[in-house]
Amino acid sequence: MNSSQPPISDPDKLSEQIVAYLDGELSAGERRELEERLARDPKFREQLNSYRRAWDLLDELPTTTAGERFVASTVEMVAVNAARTETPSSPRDLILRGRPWNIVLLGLGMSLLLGYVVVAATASLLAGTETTTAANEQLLVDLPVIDRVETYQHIDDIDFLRRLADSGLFDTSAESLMGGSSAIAGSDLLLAESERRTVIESLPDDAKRVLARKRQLFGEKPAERQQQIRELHRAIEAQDDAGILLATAAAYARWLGEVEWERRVELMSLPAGDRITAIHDAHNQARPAAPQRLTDMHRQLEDMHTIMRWLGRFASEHEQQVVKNDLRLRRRLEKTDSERVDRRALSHSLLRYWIRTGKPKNPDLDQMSLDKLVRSLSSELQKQVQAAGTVSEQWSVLLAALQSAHSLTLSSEQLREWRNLSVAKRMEEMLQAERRPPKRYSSGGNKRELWRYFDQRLTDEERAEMEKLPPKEILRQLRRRMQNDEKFKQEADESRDRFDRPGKDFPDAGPDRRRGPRRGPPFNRPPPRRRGGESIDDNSNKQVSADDEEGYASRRPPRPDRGESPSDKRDRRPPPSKSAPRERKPSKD
Amino acid sequence: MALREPSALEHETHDPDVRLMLQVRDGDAMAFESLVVRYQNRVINLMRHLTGRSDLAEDLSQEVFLRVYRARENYKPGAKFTTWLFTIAGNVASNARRSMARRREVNLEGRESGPLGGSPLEQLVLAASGQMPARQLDKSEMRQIVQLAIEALNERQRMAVMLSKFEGMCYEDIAEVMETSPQAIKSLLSRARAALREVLQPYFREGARPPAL
Repeated sequence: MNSSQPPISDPDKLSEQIVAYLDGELSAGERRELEERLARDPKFREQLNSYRRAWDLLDELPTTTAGERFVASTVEMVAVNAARTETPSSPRDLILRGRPWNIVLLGLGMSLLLGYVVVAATASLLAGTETTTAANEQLLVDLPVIDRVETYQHIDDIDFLRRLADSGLFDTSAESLMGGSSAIAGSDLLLAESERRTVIESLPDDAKRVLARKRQLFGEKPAERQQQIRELHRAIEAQDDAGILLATAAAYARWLGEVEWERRVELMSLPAGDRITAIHDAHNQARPAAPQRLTDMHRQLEDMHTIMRWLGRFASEHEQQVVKNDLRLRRRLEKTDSERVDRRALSHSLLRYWIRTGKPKNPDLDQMSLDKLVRSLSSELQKQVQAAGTVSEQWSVLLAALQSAHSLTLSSEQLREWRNLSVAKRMEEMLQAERRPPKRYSSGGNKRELWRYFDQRLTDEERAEMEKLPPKEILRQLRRRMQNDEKFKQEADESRDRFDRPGKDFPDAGPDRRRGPRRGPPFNRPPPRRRGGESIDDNSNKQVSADDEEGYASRRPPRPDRGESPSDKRDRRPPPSKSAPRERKPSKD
Repeated sequence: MALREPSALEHETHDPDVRLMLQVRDGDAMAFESLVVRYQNRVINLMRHLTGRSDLAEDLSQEVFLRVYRARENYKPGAKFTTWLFTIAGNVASNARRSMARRREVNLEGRESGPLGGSPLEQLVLAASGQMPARQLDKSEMRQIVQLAIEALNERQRMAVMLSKFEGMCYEDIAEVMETSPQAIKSLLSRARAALREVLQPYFREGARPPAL
C-alpha cells in the first residue's frame, strides 16, 4: 500500500487497521500509511485514541489469585486420577527424573497421618508440630463428619437432603448395606476420644490414606462451610430415618461423581430447589432402559439363589464342623436321633456362624471353592467379586449381594425397617424368608411367578408402561394383577407344590414372546425321582430339618452320597418337549 | 521473505514450558507441579473472564490442568506450550458456558448487586446515551463497568480479547488457539474492540464528567 492509493473509507476496514496498528500487527508499509493519516487527520487521531483508552480500561478488570492450596489440590486430584486410571508402570516409568505420581499421592496422604501417629505416640514431639496437632485434634473431634465428607460436601442442608430422599431418585439399598461412604463403620458411635484414637491407629494403611485424604478435603473448606457440614451431620443424626438419609446422600454423591463434568458444574451452580428438578431430569436421562432394570433384578435374585445353593453344598461337605459350631443343631439331632442334617439347615447354620464370627472360617472358605461358585454367578457379580482381594473380601462382596437381592423383595415399609438392622439381623430375616412356606396368592406370589406373569400375561403395551416404573412398583402392580388372575394362580400353586425351591427361572409355559430362549422347568414336568425310583414327595426319610419346628416339612430326598443331589441331577436332565403355546388371556384390571 | 515454522526441537530448546511438558509426558510429577505454579493465576483469570464466574474459576482451572495431564501422552512440541494450554482452556470455558447457558445462568438481572445496583447493563446503555446525570465513578464501579463490557462480548470475541490483552499473544498464535486464520482474528478483534469502545467511551470522554449510574 502506498500514498498514491486512496485512503480506506470503509469504516470496518478502517477499524481493523487501527486495531492492528495498536496491536503491532501491520506490515511496515501499512504502518507508515496509517501514521501519515494520523498526522494529517485529527478526527482519525481521536478515533485511534478512543480505541486505545477503551483497551487500557481493561486493566481495571478484577484479577483473581489462586488460593493457597490450589497447586496442592490440583496435583493431588491429578495423582488420584492417575492412580485410578493408569495400568501398572512399565519399565520406562520406573526410570523417572522426578517424583512418580504414586509417591506424590502417598506423600500428600501419609504426611497427615504420619504426624498423627507420631504425636499420638510420643508427647515430646508435640513441640514445633502445632499444625499437625491441630489437624489431629480436628480428626478426633470431627471423625464422623470427616469420614463422610465426600458425601456431605455435596449436600447443602438437611432440607435439600430430605427433598432428595423424598424424590426417590436414588436406589439406596446398596448404599445402606455398604454404610454409605463411611470408611469406618459406626464412626459416629465412637464417642470417646480414646476409642476414636484406638480405631484410627488400628486402621490398615489403605484406610489411613483414605482418611487422611478426607481430613485434608475437610480442612481445605472455609470455616463456615465446615460448620455447615457439622450441622448437617447433627441434623441427620437427629432424624428417625437417619440411615435412609445417609444412604441417599451417599447414593447422590456416587451418582454425581459419575455425571459428566460439565453437567456437574451446571448442577452445582443451581439453587437447591432448581437443582432437585435438574437432578431429576439428569437422572431420568441416565436411567438404564426398563428391560435392563428388570433383567438386573432378575439377575440379582438368581445370583442370590446360586450363592445359597452353593452354600448348602459347601456346608454339606463340612457337615461335621458346621454341626459342631451350632449347639441348636446338635441338640436337634440328639432329640430326633437323626444322623444327617438337610442341606438347607446346614447352609443357614454356616451362614449364621460366618456372620457371627465376622469371617468365613471354620470351616475355612478356600479360594478354589470360591472360584467354583464365582464361575456360576452372573458376569456382573463375577467382576465385583474378582475385583476384591482376599477370600474374606470376596466373601464380603457376596454377602452384600445377598442382602441387596433380598432387599429387592421387600416393600417400602419393610425396607425402611430393614435398613436400620444390623447385618446379622438382616441375614436372619433373609434366612427366615427362605424357610417360609411359599406365599399363596393371598399374600402375593413369589418372584418367579411374578416374572412369569409379567412375561406371559401382559400385552406389549402393558409391559412397556410397567417397565417405566421403579422395580418395586412393578412388583407391587404385578402382585395386584395376579390376585385377580384365578387361572394363573391355580397353575402357580400347582407348580409350587411340585417345585418348591428357589433357584431356577420361572416355569416354561409357552414360547418366549420377548427375549431369548426360555429356561426353567415347564409346568407339566413330572416330579423328579430318586435313584431308587421313589418320588421325592415320599417323606419317609430321617433327615432333620431346621424348619421342622415350624411345621415346614422338608421335601429334600436323602442323599445317597456326598455327591450330587437329585436336584443337581435334575438340573442336567434334558427338558421334555414343550407344551403347546398357551393362549394369551386378556388382562384383568 | 517468509519465516519458516520453528521445528519441534526449536520449541523444546527455546520454550522452557515445552521442556517441562515433555517431562510431564515422561511421568514427572514435579514438572507438572511446576507448570501448575507458573500458569495457575493466568488460567484462573482467563476462566474467570471467559465464563464471568469467579466462583467457578478455580474448579474450571483444575479441569484444564487435569486435561493437560490426560493429554500428555499425545503432546508433541510442535507449538508453544501456551498455545496448547489455552486451546484446552478455551474448550473448558466453552463447555462450561454452554452448560450454564442451558440453565440460563447468564442472567444479568440475577447478578448480585454491586456498586452499580440492579440491571447494571441497562444503566450502562443509558449512560452511553447521555440520558443520566453525571457523577464521578469510584474504582469498584469502574471495575464492574469494564467487567460488564467484557461480558457483553460474544464468546469468541472475549477469548480473542483475553489472549491479546492479557497474554500478549500475536494474531498468529491466537488464530492457532482458536483454530482460525490470522485475518479472521484481525476482524474479530476489530469488532470486539469497537464494541468495547462504544460501551466504555462515555467513561473516558475528555472534558466531560462520566455519567452517573
